[in-house]
Amino acid sequence: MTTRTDLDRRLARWFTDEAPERAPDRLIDDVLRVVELTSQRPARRAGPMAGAVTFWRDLTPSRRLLLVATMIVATFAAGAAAALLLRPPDAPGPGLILVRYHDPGDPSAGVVVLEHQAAATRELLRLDASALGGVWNGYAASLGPTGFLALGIGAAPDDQVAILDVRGEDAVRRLDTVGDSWSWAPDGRRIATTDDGGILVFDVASGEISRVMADESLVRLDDGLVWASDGSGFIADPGIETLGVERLDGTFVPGRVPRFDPGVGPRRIRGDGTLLRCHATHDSPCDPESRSLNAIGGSAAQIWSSDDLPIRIADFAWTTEGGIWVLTETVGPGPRTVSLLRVDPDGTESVTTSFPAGRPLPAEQGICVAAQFEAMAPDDSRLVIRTTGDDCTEGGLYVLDVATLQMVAIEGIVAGWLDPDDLERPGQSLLPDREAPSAMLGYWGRMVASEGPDTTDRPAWLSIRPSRARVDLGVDWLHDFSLSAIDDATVRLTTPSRDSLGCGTQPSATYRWRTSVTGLSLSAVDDACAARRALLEGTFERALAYSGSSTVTMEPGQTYYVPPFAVRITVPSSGRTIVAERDWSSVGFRTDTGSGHWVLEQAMFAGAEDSLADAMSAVEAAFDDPGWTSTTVAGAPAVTGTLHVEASEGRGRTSLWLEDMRVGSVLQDGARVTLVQSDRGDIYSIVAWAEGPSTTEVWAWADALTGSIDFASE
Amino acid sequence: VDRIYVERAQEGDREAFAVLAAGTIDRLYAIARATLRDVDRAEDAVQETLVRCWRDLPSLRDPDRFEAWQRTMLMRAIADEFRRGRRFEAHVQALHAEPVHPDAVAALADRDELDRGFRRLAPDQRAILVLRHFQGLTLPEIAEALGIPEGTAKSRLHYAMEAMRGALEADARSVVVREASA
Repeated sequence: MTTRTDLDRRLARWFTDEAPERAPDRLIDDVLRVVELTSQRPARRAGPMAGAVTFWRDLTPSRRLLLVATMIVATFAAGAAAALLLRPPDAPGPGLILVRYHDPGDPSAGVVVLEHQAAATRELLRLDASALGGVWNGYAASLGPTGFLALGIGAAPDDQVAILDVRGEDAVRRLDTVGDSWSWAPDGRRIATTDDGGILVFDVASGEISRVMADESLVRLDDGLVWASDGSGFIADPGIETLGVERLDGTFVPGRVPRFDPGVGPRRIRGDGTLLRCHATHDSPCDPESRSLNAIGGSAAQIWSSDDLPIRIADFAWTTEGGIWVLTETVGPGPRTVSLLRVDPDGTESVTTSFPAGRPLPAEQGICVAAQFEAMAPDDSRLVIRTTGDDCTEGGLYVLDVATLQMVAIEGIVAGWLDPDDLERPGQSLLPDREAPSAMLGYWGRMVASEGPDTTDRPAWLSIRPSRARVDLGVDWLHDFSLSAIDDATVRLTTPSRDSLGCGTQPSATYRWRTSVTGLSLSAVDDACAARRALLEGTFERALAYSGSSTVTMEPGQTYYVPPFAVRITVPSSGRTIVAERDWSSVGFRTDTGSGHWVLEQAMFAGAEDSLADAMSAVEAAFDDPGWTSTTVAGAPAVTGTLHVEASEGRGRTSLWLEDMRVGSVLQDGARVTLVQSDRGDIYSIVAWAEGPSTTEVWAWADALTGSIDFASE
Repeated sequence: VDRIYVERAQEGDREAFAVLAAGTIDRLYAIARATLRDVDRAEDAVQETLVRCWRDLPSLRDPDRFEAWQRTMLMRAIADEFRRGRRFEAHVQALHAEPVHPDAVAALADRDELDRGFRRLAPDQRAILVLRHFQGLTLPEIAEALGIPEGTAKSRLHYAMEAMRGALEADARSVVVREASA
């Protein structure tokens, strides 16, 4: 069995073995050429609070202590008075909303939503797994300003975001999305997350998805996406000291703007848009040597410093009044003491409370900070703090009442804060649309005619989720639609605003659907866009999930397409449950025969193996023939396709990599031959290298493979 | 990295910056290559990093932190490269010598297995594995380079290793099933 340590070692060795010794010479030349034409940005000026810092630094240590002690007494007195005056004892503050998932791993488990108020916790909502598509795990929760929760749940077949009303008035809506945290817009109708391509914004009511293609540097803030208070976009920190708004239309508008505060995470952006961070020049967290905090607006200014105290900064945030909260931890090998400091806008500093945290790792002090802000009530009445246990283990989650300084331990995922009045108020409906009927859900495929000079039919993969449909035509051709059911037989499909089909002027269409033994049939009831009709009208056959490695339940005797191949497979008709496992070149089944005995069946896609195996001999021959340029190899009988091969020569040892493709390899005498196959199903390649002073490089590819494998008749 | 060169470059000395760039470019390139698995994009990321370094160098308060600051710049540039979208392009890269004998076959298979698994990881997972297992950085250094809290770095490293392990196990499983059916 592979152990954790083994993998560590393998990775380290692999990285080292594969690492290039040098960067290409031309790269430094290119860099210096650009540098020659590039001006430097001037250094920043000192900010308005620099005087206070200088004042502090000029004091002797004994005077500093005296000043701090005086400030503590004064602040406690002022704080206590303010608490008495401003907060009647019976007035409840905003409720802290927590989410707990029952017994992770239990397929029947569900979700409980709780409200924590003062020292008491009460249950608001309880949903079993069936209401959430069979939850098997939960990993995130975010409460919107109108009382709707976005829950990240692991549900079959993929992760989803479930939207539900904490007042229990609306049914659950599920969104098929990515990301591990979501930020609600100020209007409470949209949520946003990030993926590799930028920001995804979901309109919860319509299910419409839009993508904000942010420029080079997106949002660099520790606490993720932060909406501007007007909902126009996201606060961004794309460069040194350049705050601004990444707008939904993809433009970046520099300048500070008010932010929307959901109350979760440390409040790193002040109401006026000023960013608080540890380093003046970059947005990394505090390192062990950090002893100061900086306000970043149009310029950077150090606003707090504790240079000579035996502490380090664990976490920090703005107060609602524009001062700062600082969590500090003691430095040393034993258990740490965490202190919560409050620094008012006038520079008055006070230690409000202290509490213990675990000891740091002995070898690497500072790996885990002793405590962090998990959430902050909108009125700063309570702070949620997560502590670290010994040796970087999980500590506890606590609510600190700022007025009484009482800390209460809590459990669950912190989702946000909700005003008690909102719990009594009916929520606005976010869920006017019905989800797709369950019979439509899943993966479907069919062959469609190619456009342009290539006349070969190509597979089209249709996936239908509760609120979304997607047609995948191969490399770079994806068409997304939001989907809602009109009645039991018809659905509405809406193209997004940036529509690649050219249906922008007729975004909505209505289709009738039905399922049969042959698959899912769609027929247009009302669709003025011909391109969309050509894509959707017709019958799609059942297909396996598109993802590279998947496990799905299959109907006995049913025939499926197997993305990314245009290959049909027919599974055996006997057996209670059939599960398919698929990788880049094969598909396999496990059949439960009913007596606890599982039968394994596996088939390699002949197109991937046989065709390329035939091609290998041609490739090897190519190494001996520098004038060789191309050949064609017939496909294997079961799965047909045409393989094209061409070669070129280069210096030194070279290899060829194709981005985002799966690679398998075998070693031939004197040459390395690698089979490369596209995830998308329309590029199949083999790549070969010859050892020696002059390397021949061969690249081969095949058209999309078609054919069928019938397990049922074997 | 020599502090004097950093200070001179901060004052606009391009020759001093050329010395700094020449002294660090190989390391930057190795990190970018390992993370992006793509020669062209690695070169783009390194060039972007060094140009940004030059442009923003006057803002660096502590010249002794040049290397960590530069690494943060690099990780941003790498993240930007990932965001620019996937490309289906062929790239040529140098290979080390690979003697042809049974052990080499196994080593090659191991590398390919790791490569397949690594390419399945999300960009942030790739980055953290490279910084930890290739560059040998501590978690605070990783957190600084990636601009994330230390707690996040720790959990991200954990999940990246789990994802890598899962990818390798899935790969191994498919081989076992194939052999069983052969």
